Amino acid sequence: MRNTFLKKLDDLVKKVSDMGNTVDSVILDTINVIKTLDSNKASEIIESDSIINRMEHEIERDCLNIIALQQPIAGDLRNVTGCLKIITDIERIADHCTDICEILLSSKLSKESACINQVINIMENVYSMFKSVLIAFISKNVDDSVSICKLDDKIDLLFSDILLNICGVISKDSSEVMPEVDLIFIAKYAERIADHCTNIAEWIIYMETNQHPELN
Amino acid sequence: MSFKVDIQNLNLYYGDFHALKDINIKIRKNSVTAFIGPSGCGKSTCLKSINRMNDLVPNCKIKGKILIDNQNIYDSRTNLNLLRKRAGMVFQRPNPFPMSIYDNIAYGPRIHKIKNKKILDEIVEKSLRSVYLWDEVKDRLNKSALGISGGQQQRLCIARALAVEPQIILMDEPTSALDPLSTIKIEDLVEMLKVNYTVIIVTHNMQQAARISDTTAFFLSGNIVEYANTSKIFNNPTDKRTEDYITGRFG
Amino acid sequence: MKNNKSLYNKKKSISDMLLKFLIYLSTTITISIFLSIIIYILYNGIPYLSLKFISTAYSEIDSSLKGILPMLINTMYIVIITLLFAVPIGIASAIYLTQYAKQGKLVKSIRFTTEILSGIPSVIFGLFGYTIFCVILGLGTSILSGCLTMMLCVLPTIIRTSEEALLSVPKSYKEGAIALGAGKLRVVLEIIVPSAISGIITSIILAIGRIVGESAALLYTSGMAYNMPKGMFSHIFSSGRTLTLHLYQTAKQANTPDSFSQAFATATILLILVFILNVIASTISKIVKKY
Repeated sequence: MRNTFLKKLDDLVKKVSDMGNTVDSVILDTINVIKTLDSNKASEIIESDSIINRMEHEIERDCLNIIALQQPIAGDLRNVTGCLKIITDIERIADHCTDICEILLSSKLSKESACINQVINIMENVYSMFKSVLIAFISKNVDDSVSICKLDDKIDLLFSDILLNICGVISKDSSEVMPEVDLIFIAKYAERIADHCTNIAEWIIYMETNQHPELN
Repeated sequence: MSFKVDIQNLNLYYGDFHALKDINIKIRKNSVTAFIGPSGCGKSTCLKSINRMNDLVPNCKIKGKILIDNQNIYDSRTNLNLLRKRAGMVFQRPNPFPMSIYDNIAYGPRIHKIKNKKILDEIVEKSLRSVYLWDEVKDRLNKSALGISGGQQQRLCIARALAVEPQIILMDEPTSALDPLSTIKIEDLVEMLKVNYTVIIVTHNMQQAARISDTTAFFLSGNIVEYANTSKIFNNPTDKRTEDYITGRFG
Repeated sequence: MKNNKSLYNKKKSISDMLLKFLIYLSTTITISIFLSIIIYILYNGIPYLSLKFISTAYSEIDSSLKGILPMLINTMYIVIITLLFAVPIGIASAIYLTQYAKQGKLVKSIRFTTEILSGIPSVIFGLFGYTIFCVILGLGTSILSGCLTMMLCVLPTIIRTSEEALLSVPKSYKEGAIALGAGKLRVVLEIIVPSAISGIITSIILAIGRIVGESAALLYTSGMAYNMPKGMFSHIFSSGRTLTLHLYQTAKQANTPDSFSQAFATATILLILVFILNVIASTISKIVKKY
């Protein structure tokens, strides 16, 4: 019954996960750009942001159409509004990757810069957090989502470490200031991406349980 | 592109009362079109003009044309019985005849000269299957149609209309007298019907129009205020009166 | 607060009790009168009933022939032939008035006239029938004249009751049939008339009841002859008395309490006939409703 409606809901979930998969590649590519400092790749990533934006607008229109035309209620309504919120977070994550690439384009970082490995490490942690949250979205897993929210603390700690270390490096050797400051910004963006992953996890919990956890 | 139903400058009077004013609307083949609007706005009247059921109302005068497959149905050469075969109708209250379920479905084909029992049997089964009623009533085809539930009766009436193989199906508030579960079943049915038929449905229930129709026409006081794709009407209507009506600010 | 009276407070008011008493009293009176009539007739009539009574011919002179067989036959003739005329004309008129005629002043006045006609005293029909059928058309006092006169008596009832039945068929049946492409005649014959059939049959049963019980209209028109029919078809041109007329005649001629016996016996037969008719009517009604 209500086959068209159910199909529309399924299509919505599929589109959100497609968008997630696209952003998944973007994060991976961004990590590679940090490792290789390849400015061509960085430019590609920046240009591809418009594709993500288009996906967000399309899914947004689909959500509004479903609400206007199909009158979803209860779980269905939570699912539709959850998707509407989640795509915002996914799109912001892609934006942050673009911001990182823009920094890298004009930065004087080199593969030997101090603390660059720590930054790569925090990005890789954030990437695995994002991958987990995508899986939790598809499988509607509340427990996994709760665990992901707890990972945010770890990322915050990693960021504090990076900040301390870089401050130490700068105070010892002021010729390296600008690249190191760039690293601080990149690490901050990584931490923000982790926050967005936590938001997505919270929305997944809300979609399934109708409770909004205050876990940030 | 040619349209299945093309209403041109239709004006209808019940005595002195001008019920339909300059109605112009083109309906595409194999689509579901909803007519919405407040009580007394003319949507049922417009629907009934398409199969000339308004001819039964005394003092009803019509000006203008309604073209079905590019032929004006108000031309004096029109064969009314053939017209009603081409455009079948389902009414607001289920109205099965006081006969058996089999005879109800077979009534239409028999009018149109089909008498062979084997063919009638096939038609009855096919019609009942297409409304998902076959499994529910196949063991009681010879019992009175008045003994089944309201939702089943309405599906029976739809099957009865389908049995004469129309091309257009006109539905006048088909679910307003039914419970929610029956309503959903019939809405699902309408979505399947549009593959093979052109459906026009009058409904008081705007949410229903939003769920199942491809295009929607908003009637007000005998005029069509707006006629567009359903997603446009329900997301961002052009006319303020349409928006006021669908958001419940009047009507 | 004022509304805290106990719910278990069933008070009986005087006017209620008085009204109830009057209603019961009226019912008792009605039923008693009704029952006493029946019992009186049965009491006086049953002793004279016998198989011989309903199977032998009658003679005013010969005291061994006091059967009512000729009267039974005449009643049968009148019922059947009157129905043969009245039912098709009556039903067709009802169909025309409800399905085809434009519902305007003309139809309303026809309906009004029919109402009045059904209330006109039957002796007037008798006079009319005598003048037109017996004298002007030259049929003389005969069963045929009686039938034609009775036809005039029962037509209004048949038309009115059939009209009611046809009008009470839900409009939705007609709309449903027309929307499938049925022409008007087909809708009337296949949908509307069958739906109204129980009402139409009721009208026929009412007509039969009226015919069986009629006396005044037949008094002048079908005559008093009591001979057995000589030929099945030719009998309608000859005079013949019905059960009711026989009752009238024997009661009129009787001069001793004993000779009322014929009258009471005939009355008993009439009562039984009416009872059987009513039973048949209800049974047919029930069967048709179920179908």
